[in-house]
Amino acid sequence: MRTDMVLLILGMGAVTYATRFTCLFLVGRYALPPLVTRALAYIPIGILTAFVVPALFFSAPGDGAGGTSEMLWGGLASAAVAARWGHVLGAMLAGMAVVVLLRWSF
Amino acid sequence: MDRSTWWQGVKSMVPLAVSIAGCGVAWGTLARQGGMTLPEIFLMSSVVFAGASQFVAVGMLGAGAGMGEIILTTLILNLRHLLMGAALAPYFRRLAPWRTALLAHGLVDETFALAAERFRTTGGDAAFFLGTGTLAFVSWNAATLLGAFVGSGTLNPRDYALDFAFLGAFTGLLVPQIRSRSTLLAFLAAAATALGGRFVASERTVVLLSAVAAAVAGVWGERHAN
Repeated sequence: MRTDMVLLILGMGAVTYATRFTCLFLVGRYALPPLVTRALAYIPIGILTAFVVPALFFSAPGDGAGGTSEMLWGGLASAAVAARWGHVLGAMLAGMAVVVLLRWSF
Repeated sequence: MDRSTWWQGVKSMVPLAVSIAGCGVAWGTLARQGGMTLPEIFLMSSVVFAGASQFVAVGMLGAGAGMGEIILTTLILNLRHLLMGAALAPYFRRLAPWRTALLAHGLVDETFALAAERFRTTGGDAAFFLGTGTLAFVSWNAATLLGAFVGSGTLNPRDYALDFAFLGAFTGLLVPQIRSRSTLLAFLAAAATALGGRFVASERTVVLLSAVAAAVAGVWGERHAN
């Protein structure tokens, strides 16, 4: 292995691990104001939404006539399954099926 | 350490492991084409263990970027872990420090999403989180090596909607969490921020902004519930 590559990897690993460990370790060990604790409860919704919503609307255009809307339809299918049955694998597969069908039919 | 809870974590991770593996094969191929050797690929996947950062690093290496630039970019890309860690930390407060140190390496977008959903009802179990992290780690490393060995040129992930797998699973985790006025407000605020923010900030900065927007809107919604 090249020395500079190993150093790069160790540097990337160190900063990444620091972001993972710092809050996970420190926040739980000190009593936080109740307002902060309640606010933290909404962080998961915020992060998941930030990944999902823009990607459904603005994914790279497909090469078929379905264009970007195939992702949106897939997302709606996943959301419907999740809302009805609350099943993650089911939601994922339903959305994938819709996306595949849209891609194959255009 | 409860083995059956650990195993539940592994099983919950399976759908997302599929999407991680698809991504891993793609990265392994790219890294190999970019001139990284197999040991280097394995070292990066196991030590850094962060998909987005690894894609960006390979791209930056190809563009001739320096070590400092790449490490700084990695740090910025991963700042979202701070918020994820803060959200999960209350559940792990009674854990021995070395256990938290081990769990920390398994904190990725996918394991965070699963843990956040499950801990709402179980009150947090480290064994479950370790299970999700274990499968995430194994699938990412196995897939990047597979990509480096055989390449993904023969298989187009788009044909099987593997590029949608991550989105579908995350949608499945998100929707059941929207169950009250305040969670709906948090979702709407995050969605508006994410959609608007992408025109002014990078994708990963938008994640941080959306998380903050959700927190503010959620707390505001609780206060004005009636």
